[in-house]
Amino acid sequence: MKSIENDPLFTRAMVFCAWTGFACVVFFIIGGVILGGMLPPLFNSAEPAAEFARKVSENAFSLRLGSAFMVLSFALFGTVGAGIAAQTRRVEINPVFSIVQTVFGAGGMTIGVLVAFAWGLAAFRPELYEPSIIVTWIDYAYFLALFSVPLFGGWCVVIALPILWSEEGSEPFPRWVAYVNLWAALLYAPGLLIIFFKDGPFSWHGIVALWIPYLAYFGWIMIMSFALLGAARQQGTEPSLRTESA
Amino acid sequence: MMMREKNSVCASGANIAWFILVVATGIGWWLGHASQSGGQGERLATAGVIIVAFIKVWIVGFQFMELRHAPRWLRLGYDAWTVVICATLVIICLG
Amino acid sequence: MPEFSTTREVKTAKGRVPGEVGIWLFVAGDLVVFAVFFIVIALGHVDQAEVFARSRASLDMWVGVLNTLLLLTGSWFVAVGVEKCRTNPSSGVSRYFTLAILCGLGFVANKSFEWGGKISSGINPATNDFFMLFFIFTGIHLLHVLVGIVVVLLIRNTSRRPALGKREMQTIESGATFWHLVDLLWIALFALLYLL
Repeated sequence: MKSIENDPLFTRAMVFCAWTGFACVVFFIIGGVILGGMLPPLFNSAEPAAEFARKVSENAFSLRLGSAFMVLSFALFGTVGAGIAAQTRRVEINPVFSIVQTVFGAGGMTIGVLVAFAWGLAAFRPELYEPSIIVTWIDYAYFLALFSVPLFGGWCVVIALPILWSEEGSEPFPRWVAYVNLWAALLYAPGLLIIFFKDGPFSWHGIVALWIPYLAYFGWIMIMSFALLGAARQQGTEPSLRTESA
Repeated sequence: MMMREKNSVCASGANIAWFILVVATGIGWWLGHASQSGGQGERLATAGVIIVAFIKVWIVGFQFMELRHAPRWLRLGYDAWTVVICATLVIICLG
Repeated sequence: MPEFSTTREVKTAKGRVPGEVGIWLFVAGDLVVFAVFFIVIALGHVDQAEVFARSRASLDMWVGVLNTLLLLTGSWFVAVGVEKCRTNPSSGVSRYFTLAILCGLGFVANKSFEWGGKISSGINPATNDFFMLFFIFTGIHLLHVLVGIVVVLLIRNTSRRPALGKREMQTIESGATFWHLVDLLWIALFALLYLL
């Protein structure tokens, strides 16, 4: 792979991508946690539609503003994902995984943005909507976020594999990052259960199907952002003085 | 089959561990019957089930996962998890 | 491989991380998550004592015991196999891993019979909260067992290589660590679901 010694743009670009990851988490805390009621969940999957409508009406402004922050947060999945792919690309002679990662990252960003749209729409015209429509928007938001396990989990796997399969000394990221990705993928898996349960730990407001995947996901963003900083400063295991071989 | 190789220290460590684990499984089974049949010793048997289970969990870590030869921080981390979770579960179940 | 037997026998204060640090990160994460599962079961045991007790009584304890013994024995095979990889790699060491895989397959078969029996008698995750937790948590564990079987297959293939250097031993040890994780998680689940 090419040395980044005379490539200050690379370093700056990577640092930029890393910081968008930190910003992503901060914006989610503002938009999803404090204002939007996504986590801890304001709504309860088992409650009647009238309850949803009431909660939306009482918190409409907070939900709308929260959605705006969330769309900002979730759009930044793209910069983090592309940064990871760019670093992976450096260790490939003929790119494959970096391309796959780009595809999954783009998908993840799109899904994320839709989550924020749905959340905002639920609070957009509550006076006009049937309560069941409001429930549908909230269900849709959580399904996008949690039921999309093959996408977000798959993304983690295609980040982990090129690390584990690399020659020793030219991994894009340290090996432990691969294991964290595999663990994160496992933790997203319970999200698939939400289609079977409307109450309890495996519903979209539940501790297993909501909290664990969300905490794992934003933890993953933090860890990958630090990993990108490491790549910017060449703290991965790639040898810094290697030049491109062909 | 095998296990004539007493010269390999860790192989016989594994044997002892397996034996203890199997016996502990039996003890757990017996305690399980005791805790489900109601009566005076029920709370003690319930605590016993959990404690025996986490002793087994610890042995798997200590011997099979080779934590006995691992750095202290790793050992202590595992020990801490075992103790904290075991205690938490006992408190919940008896509390 | 002499370098490994000397490293083992030297009692350094520092110790040696089995496998690599990354697998232990994975293990730590799984332990935290399963701890949450264990607590959920315990809370259910307390909140819905009667439902849980009644449902638990309809489980076949011996099925659970058999599964526990299968995984314990599988772990034993893996542990012995790893040790043999260090000290005497060429003497058919891969058969230990094959035997461990058979234990894993036995577990899967046994669990399938158990689930099949329950489902055909009308019990499923929607029956009550106990069976919801029972099926989901043993299901998530079963996924771990399936992954574990693949991992032990990987270890087995690695163990068949003519020379087992540092990288190969690292792979073997890391894989073994995952297998033992699967075993210990079942030990706790078995106690909380079958024995309490």
